[in-house]
Amino acid sequence: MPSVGAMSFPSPPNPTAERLRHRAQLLRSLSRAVHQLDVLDLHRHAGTEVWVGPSQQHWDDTLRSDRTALARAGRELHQAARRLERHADDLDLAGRPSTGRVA
Amino acid sequence: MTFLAYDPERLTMLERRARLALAQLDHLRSDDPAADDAMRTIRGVRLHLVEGLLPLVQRILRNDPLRAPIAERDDLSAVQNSLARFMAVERGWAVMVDPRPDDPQHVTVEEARALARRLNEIPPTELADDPERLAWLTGELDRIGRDPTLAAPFAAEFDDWAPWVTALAEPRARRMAGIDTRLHVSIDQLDATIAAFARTAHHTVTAGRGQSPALVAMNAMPRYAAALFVRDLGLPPDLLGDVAARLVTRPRDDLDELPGPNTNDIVLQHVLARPSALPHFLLRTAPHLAQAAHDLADPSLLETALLRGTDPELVDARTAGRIVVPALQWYFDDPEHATGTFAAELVVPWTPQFAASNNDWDIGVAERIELIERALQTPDSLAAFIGQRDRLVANARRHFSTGSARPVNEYTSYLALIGGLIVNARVRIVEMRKAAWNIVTDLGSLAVSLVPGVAVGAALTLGVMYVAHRGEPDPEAVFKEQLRGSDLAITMAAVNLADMLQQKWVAEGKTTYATPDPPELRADEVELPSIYFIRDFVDWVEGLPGGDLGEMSREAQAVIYSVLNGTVIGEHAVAYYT
Repeated sequence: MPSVGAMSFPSPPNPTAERLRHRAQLLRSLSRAVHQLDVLDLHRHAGTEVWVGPSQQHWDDTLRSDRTALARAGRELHQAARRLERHADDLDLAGRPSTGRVA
Repeated sequence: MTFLAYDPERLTMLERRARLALAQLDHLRSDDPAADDAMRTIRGVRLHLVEGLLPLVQRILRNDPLRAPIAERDDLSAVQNSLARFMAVERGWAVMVDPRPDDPQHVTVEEARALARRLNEIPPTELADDPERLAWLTGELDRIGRDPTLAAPFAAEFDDWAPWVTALAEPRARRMAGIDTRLHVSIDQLDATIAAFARTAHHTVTAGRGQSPALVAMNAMPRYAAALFVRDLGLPPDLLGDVAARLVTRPRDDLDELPGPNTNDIVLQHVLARPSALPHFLLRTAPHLAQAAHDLADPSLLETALLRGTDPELVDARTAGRIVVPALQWYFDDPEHATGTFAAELVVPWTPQFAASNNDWDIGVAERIELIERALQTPDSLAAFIGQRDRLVANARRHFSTGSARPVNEYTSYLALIGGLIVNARVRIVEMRKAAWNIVTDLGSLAVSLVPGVAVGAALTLGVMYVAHRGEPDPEAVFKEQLRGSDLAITMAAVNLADMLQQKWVAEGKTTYATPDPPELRADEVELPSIYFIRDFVDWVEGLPGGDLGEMSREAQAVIYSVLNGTVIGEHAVAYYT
């Protein structure tokens, strides 16, 4: 049985790290929501089986580029969440408070 | 004016889906600074739906579409509205004026197909003299032709290759001939449209080889139109050669009667721009050269094609023979060619094939001698021949550098031929005579490249040709000069071989200070240099270590007598002095 002097106790939770993890959770949730948007598939319902002409071409292009931009935004939200979580882990390891400012 | 065709039910569905998508977007919120960029993107997409797509769709659905009869509306019949018209007429879609102008850079598969169908319907003459609409069509076809995913569906739907290309080629021919100045479109514009049509066919033509509809349609075009069309089909060399040959040998038609560059000019210019197609083209055209040359505005085109297409870089000896021989026969058959130098230039790369002992070409010795004689018949042609000394010697060197495949007697008969042809009384100009001698000297030195064959060869029968020359005032003198040329050439080869042997012995350490030098050429002092050479040669071998029965003498006799021996000299002497 270890002596009392040698026993270790868990550190109290770092409030900044907790806050960062909460933000990460929200960003992940937003990222999932972006990836599930119906607008991502809207170009499939705006093709030449529906209408033809310059307007169709314009909206086909626009909806496709919107899809690309949204997919990128979803990925970036996911990456931002991971960054926040890593920072929170670092703070826990260091056992000291931080400003919590993460870009 | 451009039109929008739509299926009202499907468009209503699109509106519904767009509303649902918008509602989802409205639910997305975040005030986290790390989500700023994402939220900006989301707001932008939302704005597209709220201010762009939804109002447009609602406006289209609210508006009354154009009423029937759609097909009779002139504005909708314009070729620019092919797709909207097709959807309206064939599928019963509603049509309205599109609030957005057409983007000429953007062509869809459906548009390419619809354009093809529309072009099948409308008379080509409607557009052929309308610069604005023709420019639009050319641009559209260009974009289709650049993209195989558009070109394939276009070519699959389009049938009227012949009517369209013909409708564009006819005014071009008239314009070129200067007989129709009322045309509104330029020759360049007509060419550009024909080229654009051809480029849309490129992918299917190369994939389907000779069976592609566009290629088959060329049979229904006038030759002139087909010649313009083939220029931009981008055919592989062998297929281009075949197609071009078929064109120049097809019967002439009305457009060929107009002044200006005719079909054959156009075809030849194009084939000349694609040298790799020349051999295929010439092989198929060779039996019909008179037809190919008929009415050429630029007669030099065919000669240039024959010269380039028989370059040893492009063809082997057998192929060249199948072109050069009929080309010479065609050339000599036309009295207008009497003063040209084309024939002399044509034979330069292939002189070894005219020698008596060569078997590369399927043509008798007498006939081939006659052909090369005629090729060098005039002073100009002889000068042109001699002027190409470097090429002539280089090609002979390549021919005789193939080792044991080339027997020695072919070389000696070749020397006899060239010597006889160019060292004769006709070479009167001092500079030219000098150049001619240089050729003989150069060719004589080629013997060195045959050394291995000579050194092991038994005595070979030397087939010397006596090249008679027609039309000279003093046949006997000419004959003697030619014979002397042959004799000189062969003696030159023997001198070179003797030199080479001497060098070999020096390298082997077989010579001493007392070993005599090999005999030299005595060309200036004597009538038949071979007689004097052989006397000197006999003296030389006697002076070699071991005497005339020694090893060196025997080797020298085996080599030299294979080229120049008593039989040859006897024939020369009898012919020359009697």
